[in-house]
Amino acid sequence: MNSKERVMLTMAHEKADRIPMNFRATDQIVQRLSRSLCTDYFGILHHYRVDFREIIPPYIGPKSARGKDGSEMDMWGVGRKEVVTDRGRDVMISISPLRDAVTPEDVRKHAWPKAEWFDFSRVKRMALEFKDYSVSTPGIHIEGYHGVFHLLTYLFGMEKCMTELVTNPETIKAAIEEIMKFFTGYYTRLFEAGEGLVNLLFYKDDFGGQNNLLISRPMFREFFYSNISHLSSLAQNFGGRMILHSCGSIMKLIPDFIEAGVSVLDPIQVTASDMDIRKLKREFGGQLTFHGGIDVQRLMPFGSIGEIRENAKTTIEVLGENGGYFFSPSHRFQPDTPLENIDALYQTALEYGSYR
Amino acid sequence: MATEDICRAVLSFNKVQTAALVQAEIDKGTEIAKILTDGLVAPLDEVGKKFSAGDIFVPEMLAAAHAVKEGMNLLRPFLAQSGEKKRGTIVIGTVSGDLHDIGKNIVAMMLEGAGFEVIDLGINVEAGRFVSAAKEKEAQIVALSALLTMTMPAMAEAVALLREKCPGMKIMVGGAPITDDFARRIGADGFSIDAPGAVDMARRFLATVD
Repeated sequence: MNSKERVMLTMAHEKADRIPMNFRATDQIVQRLSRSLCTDYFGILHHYRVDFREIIPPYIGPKSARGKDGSEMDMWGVGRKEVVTDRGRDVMISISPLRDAVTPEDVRKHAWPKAEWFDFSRVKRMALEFKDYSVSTPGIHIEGYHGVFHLLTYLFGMEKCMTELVTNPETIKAAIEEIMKFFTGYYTRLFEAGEGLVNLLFYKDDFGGQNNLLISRPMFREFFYSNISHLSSLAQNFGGRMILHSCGSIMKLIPDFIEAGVSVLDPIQVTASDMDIRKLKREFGGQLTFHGGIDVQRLMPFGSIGEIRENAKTTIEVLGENGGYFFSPSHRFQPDTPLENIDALYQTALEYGSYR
Repeated sequence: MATEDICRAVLSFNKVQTAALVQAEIDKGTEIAKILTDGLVAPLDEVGKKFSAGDIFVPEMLAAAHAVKEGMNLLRPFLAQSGEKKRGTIVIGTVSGDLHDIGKNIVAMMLEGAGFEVIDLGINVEAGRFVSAAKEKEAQIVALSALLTMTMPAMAEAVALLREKCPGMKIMVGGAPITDDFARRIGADGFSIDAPGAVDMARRFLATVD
């Protein structure tokens, strides 16, 4: 059984030979693991028996100039700056191009990106290289591919985005329309070029915080439901499925996700309120496949090997019952995670993840 | 009657109307403390309670806090000259190594809305800066935020330095990975799971400070 068959069977809620594996980590962890295993990124994926690969069409659009303050600009016109601290480095949003936008007109005037700015000509070849794997659109491993809500917070700035959702919905909706024009073009071209070899649309948009939803369910339905439903239909039209990433406490939105056509839910942030894996499996396990569930906030950086093994075992038993579960950390392994912990995690998963 | 209208404007997230109604009350000669307490602090408390109960969410809480801020800006000059006793000064910031500030900003806004003077030191704040700002501004409370598990040790260091240099200072901590247990272990005076809880805690601390 190859990786692709394993993933497809699992998504069909049947038992494959074993639970499919995924991996994600910050650059620092990837570097340390590469050194320790004497290999490269794909070597790490191979080492941990990762069943997922992604296709990243190269960007060939206009080069964006650096911001006045030296910020690195992305294709949305959002600026980021690397900040070096005494604990390492991190990146922060430094320029939000719609921070002064007031009307829908202001929003439409912004220089929105175009799908033509990506080269899809090599998608087929890349997909063929990964033909034995489950192949997704970018985001399942790589950082930097965000959904509508994420992008709104970058474009308007977090605070303005949040308040405008309440006080200026028309302007927010104009921005959503522009973002969706890009997504529709981008994903249509990617799936077309993949000729049936791309089988997952990975869509990342956080709606939950540590303790509750970030926005109300009515607000989700008003602004974001249709984006997800549109993109999951798009994927299905090409024989693909949507894997939706939303961190945080999102139990209350899951029925909406299912109704919108989401097939796989990522990342199951178990340290967030109400994200109990038994409840999730019981209530939604028939309709959803789960991806993630291994805590990176406490367990992976601070847990003992024993705790990690115990946790991996339980997660597999609960979420993996009768298929419907992809084993993965619930976020990138953070730089303070000991490599022995990562090793113990995958060893346990491979040991207990077998259905045979 | 009229402060109730301000309340309603805040609760419907209308900052233009909030400001206009506050100005009208000032012009009418209504006692400034009454406008503040009944018109601005009261509705924001209500918003905080609804947030903690899970009935409203960050967008609504922020929109209400923005409306209150508009009104507060109009009151501030009068509060300064009326010699009214300050409700307390709070120094707030995200600890060294951490660049995350959304949660911290929300807490700062809710504290301001409750009438406290808030000195926001921003992100990636070294322990020494909390100490010097707390001394310079004669703060009674320092509030520390962290999102990354990696920067939790920096929070512990900041608490330790504040304990050494600013005896008697009340220290509260918060952020996604922070727990009550962690707060106790590093010697903070309190932990709050959300912004309205931080406001309540600040009020309790100040009731015991002087």
